[in-house]
Amino acid sequence: MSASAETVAARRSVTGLLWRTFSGRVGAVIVIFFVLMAVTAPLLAPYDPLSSDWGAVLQPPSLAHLLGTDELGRDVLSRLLWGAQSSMFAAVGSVAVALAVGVPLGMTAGYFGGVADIVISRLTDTLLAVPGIMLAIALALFLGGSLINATLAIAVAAVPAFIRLSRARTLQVRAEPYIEAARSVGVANTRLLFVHIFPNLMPPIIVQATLAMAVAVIAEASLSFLGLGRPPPAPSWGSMLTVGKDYIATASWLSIWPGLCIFLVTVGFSLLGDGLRQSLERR
Amino acid sequence: MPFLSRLAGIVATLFLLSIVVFCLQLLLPGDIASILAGEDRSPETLAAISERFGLDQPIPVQYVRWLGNALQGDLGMSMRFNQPVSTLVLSKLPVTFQLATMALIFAILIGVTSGIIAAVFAGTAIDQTLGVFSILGFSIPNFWLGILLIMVVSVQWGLLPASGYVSPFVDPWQSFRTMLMPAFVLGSQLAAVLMRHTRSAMIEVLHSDYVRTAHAKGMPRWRIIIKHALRNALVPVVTLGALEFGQLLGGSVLTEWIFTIPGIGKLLVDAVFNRDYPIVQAVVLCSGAIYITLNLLADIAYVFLDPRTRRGAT
Repeated sequence: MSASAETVAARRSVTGLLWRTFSGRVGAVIVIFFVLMAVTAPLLAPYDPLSSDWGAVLQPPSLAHLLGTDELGRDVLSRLLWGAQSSMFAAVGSVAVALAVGVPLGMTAGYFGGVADIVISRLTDTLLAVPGIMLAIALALFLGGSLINATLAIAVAAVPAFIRLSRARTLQVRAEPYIEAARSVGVANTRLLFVHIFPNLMPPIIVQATLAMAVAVIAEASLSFLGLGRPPPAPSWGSMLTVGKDYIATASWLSIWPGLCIFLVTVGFSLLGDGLRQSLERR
Repeated sequence: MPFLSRLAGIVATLFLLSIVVFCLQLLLPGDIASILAGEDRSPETLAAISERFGLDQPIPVQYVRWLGNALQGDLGMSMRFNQPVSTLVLSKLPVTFQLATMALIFAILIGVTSGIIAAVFAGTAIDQTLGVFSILGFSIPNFWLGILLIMVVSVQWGLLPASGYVSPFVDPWQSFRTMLMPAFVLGSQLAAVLMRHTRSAMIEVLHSDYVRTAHAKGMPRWRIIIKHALRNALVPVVTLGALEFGQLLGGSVLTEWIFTIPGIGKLLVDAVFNRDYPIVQAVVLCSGAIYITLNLLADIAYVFLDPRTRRGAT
């Protein structure tokens, strides 16, 4: 079997093996549930998430409002459904950007070594020196509060992990005999990197990407919690918790539901990543 | 030589960190002088501010000036409090250190103990249950856990204070009580990480030859675990704990805000709400510098804990 055929088989089996672990299955079901929740929010939400009902302010859960209402009389369930979009956008968007930046940089550092490796590795160390959430808060503040900027800020904080991982894996793959052989017959560096090395980085990168999404969900909620995410009155789980914090003693449902959603999505991505890792270890 | 190259690496990282922190202000939409001027944006005021802060100079010149001041401990003036930023940050650091230290102790007690238990009972229901707790601990957002604990422990049960801070030098018992919940919240995620690492390190050590030999010689199981396995398994865990202390500073941001603890985390959040940019830059710079220092200390600790690395270094 050729190297590329092996890689294709490996990729297929990663998807298949995910279902062999219990944690992978549970994680996948949770994540799919929340993705569907985000996509179908416009259809499922019983009320407009932005419209206030001044006659139903801070109502506890009831048949009219299944998860209660907030301080402006807005339906909590509708806001939760719409809020899923912010979390999913930040999770997928930030990891996509981090992958697009981190993997090529890590591959460059690992493959070419020398000055490129020193510069990239030092930059990685620098970004890793600042706690991720602090870096994201600072970037989101200076860029200005919006969902896009929050997503970019989370992505910058996530990039170093992808650089380190892809650099380490590239160093391993580069030493393989088939890479040596390809180089000796004159295969160009760009072709070697993208056709032969890149596919071999995929399994650990997919695991890291899944775990990074879990971190991104919490980071987006944290930034929204501080008013650095999607600006109000647009719904996001983090900003819903900010309101809930002020009504801990009198309206606990305002804190419980958005927090539970953040928690479940994070558990979902963590289990998915764990399942993938277990599958890969078993192989 | 390895020490010198390590030191050079640290200096280079600190230098790059200073560039990153300085460049944050270049991301600000609009003119910095207008932001600093507040409501009085007359051309004379803007010109005076630009001249005072050197904003009319090229960016590399501005950076050199900023770095020179930072090296002398001058990180600028707070836009909100009109006080030197370095004074504000230094006055808040001890509170955050107290919280982070308590959180680290919690994390080690819970994480290492449950990691040992999970490794000893690997593959059993106990191991799986602890694994579930580890995932829960890792996934629960600390600001939500904080809100839930305030709701139950403080509001419903009235057991612990919901917020505030008391210095341990004023009233040690009250200080311990106010810090108990925040430290638990802050340490929960690290406990989950430590549990996973202790478990895998212990499992590896428990399958090593010298442990098998100790078994064959008839040594009691508990003695093998405590005296032989744990000691070796703890080496990477201790280093990880030291490195994670830096991450606890990051976690302290929302924890301190939720529990109204006047540390650098709350200072950062207040600065975010007040758009007090110099404070944000200073907190990021200090956190990075603390992390880099801890990293170096962890390296040194590793050499002392594991003689093999000492031999490898010479």
